Amino acid sequence: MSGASPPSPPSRRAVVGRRVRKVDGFKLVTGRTAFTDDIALPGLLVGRILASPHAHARIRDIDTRRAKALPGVHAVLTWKDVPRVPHTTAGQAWPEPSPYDTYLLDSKVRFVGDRVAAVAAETRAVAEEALRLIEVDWEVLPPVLDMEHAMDPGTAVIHDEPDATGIRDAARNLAGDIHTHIGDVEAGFRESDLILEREYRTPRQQHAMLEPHIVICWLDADNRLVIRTSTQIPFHVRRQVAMILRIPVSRIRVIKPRIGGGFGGKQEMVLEDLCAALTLASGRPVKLEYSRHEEFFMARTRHPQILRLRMGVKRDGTIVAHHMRVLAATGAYGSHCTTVQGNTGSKVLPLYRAPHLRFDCDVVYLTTPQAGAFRGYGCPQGYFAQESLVDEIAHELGMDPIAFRLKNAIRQGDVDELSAQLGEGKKGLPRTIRSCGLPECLEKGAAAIGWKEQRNGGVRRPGRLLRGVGVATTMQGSGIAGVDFAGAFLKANEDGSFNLQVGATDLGTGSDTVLAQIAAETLGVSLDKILIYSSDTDFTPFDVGAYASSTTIISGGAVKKAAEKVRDDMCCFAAQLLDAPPEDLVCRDNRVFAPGGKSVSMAEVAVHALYKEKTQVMEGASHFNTDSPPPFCATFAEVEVDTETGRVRPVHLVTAVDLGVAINPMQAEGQAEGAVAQGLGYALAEELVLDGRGRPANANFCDYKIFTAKDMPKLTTILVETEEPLGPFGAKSIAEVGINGVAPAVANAAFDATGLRFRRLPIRPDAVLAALGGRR
Amino acid sequence: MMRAPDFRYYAARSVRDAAAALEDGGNAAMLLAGGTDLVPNMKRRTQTPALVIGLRGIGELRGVRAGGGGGGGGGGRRAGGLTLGACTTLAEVAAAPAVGRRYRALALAAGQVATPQLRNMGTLGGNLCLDTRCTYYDQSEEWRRAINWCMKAPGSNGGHACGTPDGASLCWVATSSPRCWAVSSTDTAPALIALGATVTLARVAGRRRLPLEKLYRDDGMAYLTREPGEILTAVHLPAAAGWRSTYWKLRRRGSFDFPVLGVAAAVRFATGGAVADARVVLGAVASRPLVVPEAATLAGSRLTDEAIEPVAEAAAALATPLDNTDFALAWRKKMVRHYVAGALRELRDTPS
Ligand SMILES: Cc1cc2nc3c(=O)[nH]c(=O)nc-3n(C[C@H](O)[C@H](O)[C@H](O)COP(=O)(O)OP(=O)(O)OC[C@H]3O[C@@H](n4cnc5c(N)ncnc54)[C@H](O)[C@@H]3O)c2cc1C
Repeated sequence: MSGASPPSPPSRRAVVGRRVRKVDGFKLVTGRTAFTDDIALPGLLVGRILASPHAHARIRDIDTRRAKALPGVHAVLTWKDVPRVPHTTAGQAWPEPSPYDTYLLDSKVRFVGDRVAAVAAETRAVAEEALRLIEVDWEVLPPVLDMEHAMDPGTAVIHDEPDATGIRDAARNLAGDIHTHIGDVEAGFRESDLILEREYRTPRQQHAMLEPHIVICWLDADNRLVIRTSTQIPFHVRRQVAMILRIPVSRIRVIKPRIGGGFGGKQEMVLEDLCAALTLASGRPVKLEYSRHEEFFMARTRHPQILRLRMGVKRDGTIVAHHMRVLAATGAYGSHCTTVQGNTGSKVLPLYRAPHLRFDCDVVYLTTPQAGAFRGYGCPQGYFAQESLVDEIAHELGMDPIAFRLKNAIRQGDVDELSAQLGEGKKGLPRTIRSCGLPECLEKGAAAIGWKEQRNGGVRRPGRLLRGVGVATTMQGSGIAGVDFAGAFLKANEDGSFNLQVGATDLGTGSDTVLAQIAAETLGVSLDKILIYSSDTDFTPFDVGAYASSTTIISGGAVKKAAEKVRDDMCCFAAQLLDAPPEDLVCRDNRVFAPGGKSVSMAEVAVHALYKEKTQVMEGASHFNTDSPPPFCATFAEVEVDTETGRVRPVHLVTAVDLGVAINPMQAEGQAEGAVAQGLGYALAEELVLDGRGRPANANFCDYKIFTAKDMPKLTTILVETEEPLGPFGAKSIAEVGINGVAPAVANAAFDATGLRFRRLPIRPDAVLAALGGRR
Repeated sequence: MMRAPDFRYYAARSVRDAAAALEDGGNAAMLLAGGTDLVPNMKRRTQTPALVIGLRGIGELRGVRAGGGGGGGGGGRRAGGLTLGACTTLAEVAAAPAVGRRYRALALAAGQVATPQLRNMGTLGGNLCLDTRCTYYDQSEEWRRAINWCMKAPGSNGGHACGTPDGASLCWVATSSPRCWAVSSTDTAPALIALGATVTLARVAGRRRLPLEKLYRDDGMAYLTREPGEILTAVHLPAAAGWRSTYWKLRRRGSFDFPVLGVAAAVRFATGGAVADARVVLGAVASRPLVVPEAATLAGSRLTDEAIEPVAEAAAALATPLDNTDFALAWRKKMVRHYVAGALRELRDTPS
């Protein structure tokens, strides 16, 4: 059950701010062909990957003769058959800040599930038979599975190849590191009245999106390579595949159909390079997809981290110094390694305006599944630690946790200088807070959870079922400042409709709807007049892709600019028909109005422009920001702890979020609620478990526990609207921020109920019971 | 998506027909009811029958009817009772008014298996014959190949349709052990054993009836005493007069999950309120459902906390969870105590 916030304040906007239906909703609920796999190609081959059974091994020799000889097999590829181009699979703007440590196929494998070889065959059965016929002569190397010992002298070196670049210190398995500070934390600690230092641990979480990775490649009539793929980053994929296969960008077309979810797992080139290579080798269309089982460990995960936080405060609750040390594992390859971890510092520490901040971080390689981008991008780890610690400090000081947060939280007009130190892979830009609804989020959220009445106070009372409430405050960004950019293109049709072409990538988030709303509002037309298409590298303008909570603000900004230009063009033609100066005209209700009330329809204007003036009204625009306005969120949890089983059951989750202006409140609430579901999994159940040899033990939906509908608590979502000057119609973002506070709010609520702190995720009943028992 | 290997399918028209096909098929044949256990196993290649004999079209195997409850261990109460066809779906069992409150443990157990979709397909017979489960067994073929298989599923070319050991290596759960430790994970078996159920097994040569408890063996591979040509056709419940029962299932989520622990408890109260008869059966803590003999000590008591505690303690001592399912094993053992005590207290405290 979800309690929605009251509707946004009445405004004169006709489309923006309205709870309109998703523009692609109908085709999805009626099961129309919309997804990558929904296409039938004659002669389609099935690709399969031979996955490494070893966590760490060298391929002394590989014999594919028997596989190639099998009838129905059209291509068998190993490292011997493909170009060796070091690259990163991270879908980031060029030049990517991730190390180039990955190869299409290699003579070394670095985790269970790593690519050994690939086959394209007429049927799946033949392809799998061919995999079994490939003979590999292995030199098995010691696995490296423990991040706390990955840098120990004598540990096996995971990236010993000479041609990788951008690795911080390959000989020590150190993929990247970050060391930055503001002020002088040691001096700050000397000034502090109370210092707490705590360690927190977070697990490997898997995206578990509905649609696993899938790609279909073919050569078109002009012999160009077409890549139809479920991706968040079509334009990066085009660039990466061109580089890896050494073919010009002009010979590649990437089509992104409707996507069945990604959560960051598709901000990455995962299968496209290999599928393209199989198509080039066989000359035939090839489909390559992960099974659900493979998706769990052959795609990407969230980075597991060990965080050690030290915070010093004054007796009055003023935070003076905060030192965050992070050890993170990127797994076998370093995609997103320093950027995700950089965000653990840059988007978390500045939430509290301490004069002395320090962030030290090492990201190590392990022979484990590869980590990558994942909703929150380093923040869920950082906020679990930070929000647990400030809660503990508030308790120690005898302060209300909300009051403590309000006292220290960043506010409108503040400039966050840490962001200037911690850009994505390079120096960033300072962040100025132009809108901040955090106090209102805390106030409304506290009222919704019943903060005053429900608080237990962190003491263990008698009885089997104990209840408590907890809070966490968090922020995120809206796009990467100075990096993310997007284009949009609009043209007018003679019936008053408009084609909107964007490179932005709706992965289920609803961005197609939001972008169409922005265009419709700007043009003064109804939503059905906007025909949005996303995305195809041949037909839509460039967009970095769907990540970093950027689409509404960055792609939306481009759409708004393009729509303004088209509106101005339409007004110029309407001026001829209305006999009034164009600058006096107003567009609304699918018409253009002159000051006296006289009007013409958009269709009439379009017909006039096309057939009279022989002009196609069309405009494009690009957009980027030099700042990344943070959305703010207060997450409240009420939990029940069963002292007989140790089970922590969420009872009520409240998300009060300042997202700027909600372009579509219904979709925004959906994003917030989805984030809570994924955040609860992170807090209480989800963890990809590896055994002593690096093999996944629970790579299926039976044993990897995501929250189901039955496990969801009561949800309340409160949209706190602020006006963000940098966003289209005042919008910021909503897609990620809601996940950050769930785990700490739950942990703090569990403390409130029991008096015990839980510093390791997921909070498992066996661990809770052990802790409860220890106190008795 | 994982796909099933090729196999022949025979849609049996009657029990006799199925039994003949099963006998003809020998080791290469397996029965399929709802298929919710067998088909996933075929996809993972842990079970690879060349011949699959479908039972779903056999009308006589479906439905719940009164009577037939006499037989094994029913004391003086042989008349009456209930007979459930083996192919009755779990959804039907959970919703059947005749099961309802009288055989509450069964309704609760059947209603908590897996998910609604799986309960619509899965059958009572399939649930009772459910394959045992293990972290090292319920994995894809590639995964198991990478660990060099295990004794329960030794390689893909073994032709071991019924789990017969050949080319066996070892048990990864306890590498020095001569036996397989896969876990019995059926929800309904503990409930039915607590309710005193018997089952009928049919083969070409005839039928036999045995207490359900006797259907199971403490061996992760040969976990049933069912003979190769036998089909489980029906489950019989003795009359329920005077009995109260319940089933407590421990799992991580509110849906979907196999039991980490199942506790079935049934108590018959004499007039006057003292316990006349009590049974406690554990699921998912061994390769077979475990009857807790100490439950007999409850007779004559008023199910006080003092009477319950030693039974709960004994149950926990009996359980031998191993490191092959969800959660730490010490915790699972601890949970046995709480769940047994909780289930018995519930029977004491709920008015009949
Ligand atoms: C995601 C998931 C979750 C699950 N969760 C649970 C759970 O929580 N609890 C639980 O108990 N089970 C669970 N199951 C297992 C399964 O769905 C149920 O046990 C179901 O009742 C099996 O019945 P079926 O008719 O589908 O069996 P089938 O798959 O048809 O058969 C199962 C086995 O029994 C044999 N068999 C079937 N009928 C007969 C018969 N009449 N005579 C002799 N042998 C027979 C088959 O040969 C096979 O070996 C789950 C399964 C899945 C996929």
